Amino acid sequence: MNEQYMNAAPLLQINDLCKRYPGMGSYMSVFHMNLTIPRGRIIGLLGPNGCGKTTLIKMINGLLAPTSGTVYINGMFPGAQSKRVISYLPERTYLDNGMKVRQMVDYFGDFYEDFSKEKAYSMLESLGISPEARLKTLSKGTKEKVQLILVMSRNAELYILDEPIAGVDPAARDYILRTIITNYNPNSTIILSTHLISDIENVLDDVIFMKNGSLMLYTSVDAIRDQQNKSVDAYFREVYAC
Amino acid sequence: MLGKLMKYEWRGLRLPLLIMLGILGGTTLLTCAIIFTINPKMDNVSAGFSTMSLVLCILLYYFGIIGCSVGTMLIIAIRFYKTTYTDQGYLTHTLPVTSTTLLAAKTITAVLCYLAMLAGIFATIMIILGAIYIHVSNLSGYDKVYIDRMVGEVLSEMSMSFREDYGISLGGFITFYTVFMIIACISSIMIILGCVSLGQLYTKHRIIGAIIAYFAIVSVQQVISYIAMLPTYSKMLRAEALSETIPMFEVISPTMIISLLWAVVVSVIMHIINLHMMTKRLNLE
Repeated sequence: MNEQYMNAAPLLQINDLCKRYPGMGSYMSVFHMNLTIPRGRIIGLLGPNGCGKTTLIKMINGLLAPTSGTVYINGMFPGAQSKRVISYLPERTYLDNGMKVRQMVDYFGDFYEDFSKEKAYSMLESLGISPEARLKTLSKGTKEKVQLILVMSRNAELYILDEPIAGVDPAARDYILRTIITNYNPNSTIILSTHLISDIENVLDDVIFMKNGSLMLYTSVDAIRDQQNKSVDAYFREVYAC
Repeated sequence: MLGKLMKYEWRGLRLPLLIMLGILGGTTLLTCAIIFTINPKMDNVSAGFSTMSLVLCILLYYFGIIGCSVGTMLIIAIRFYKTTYTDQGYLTHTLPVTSTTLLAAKTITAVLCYLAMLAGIFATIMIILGAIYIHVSNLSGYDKVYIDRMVGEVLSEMSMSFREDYGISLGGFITFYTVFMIIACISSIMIILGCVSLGQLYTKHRIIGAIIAYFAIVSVQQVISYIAMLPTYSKMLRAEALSETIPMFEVISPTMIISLLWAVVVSVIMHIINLHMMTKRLNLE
């Protein structure tokens, strides 16, 4: 691990984290994971299906209780306080279809102190999404964009984006990545989980490779390019070759 | 945060509730309108139509009441399930609030909605009784002031004799019964929400799991209510054997108190289950 990570005050600290789902026998979805993530990085959380990425993300967000081990966000256990500093985009569409876009903006504004309505409306306008549109009338892709706008309109310390570009067309992917970069606060960290490495590797500072619930590699993108002489995508394909 | 959460809970619940109340209000008005058409001076055919219409309206109103009561419970359960354990749960559980606050907001709003629905049902009953009273007093041909005075006297006498017959004042009984109803209402909501949470233990069939949990708890409740009836039966049998006259409230009060205690206990258990499921056992689809 690069020395700069050791010296920086950790935004996210994971110690010996394990997760076993009920009914899965002794199989661990996340297995004795240790991770320290500093501020000011854009990190790709990469790995094949079922390697434990979403389980790890859920535990960081307090959506799953670990079987053992600890997660600290800004020195706090996952809970009401840690949720103030994490802006989370799940792989599911979590918006209430009965609400209008404007009502969702108000909802975020009511609950998150760091949410900027101006930023949200500005991004909605740039995408031509009417705040008066009811969510059930929007396509899946547009709903995902609304969700991303809401998440990125927060001035959070840690952004966790689970598969933000899966299931959207290439043009929308570009917009989403642009949105992430444009709204990125240099003091915060973005953890981005995806399979579509080639699309995102240019925006990443670091990558985390996971395999069978364990941390396989945590290094910088530059280190992969320098030491392996390969792109992250090519290196990923080599590491996870079936 | 509790206030904000309750505001959004109410927004999510209000539309179906208002629609149900609107339908109930419509059947109430229809019933009242039919009541006003009944006239003893009508010929047999018209009187027959009028009476048949009234019976149909009362049936419609009756099913309206049942529908509103059961419908409110269903709406509360569905909203709780959707916002807590389906995709919307990802938003709900990442809000910067504790699970206790989240559950409190959902429970308080659900209880208030259910109480509002019960109050609405009670109001429609009063409207129908009022319509009957006005129509009968108009048909009687007596002076309105005279009828009001007579009815007032009858009610006053009933209130006076209530204490002798039931062993408690009418006001005391109404207060006791209101508290009983409110606690029973809270308990019913807690059971419904608790069962939705318990259903999450069956990860592949969460809704079926919730229904099974509900029937299991209702069965246990039936057994408890039989046990709660034992003091009442024993007092009645003893009074009959000794040819004693015991005031009604004295006979039923132990049963009501046991039922109340059970309602409180089951509410606390369900609250603990809900909290446990929303923190330690949360596993969104």
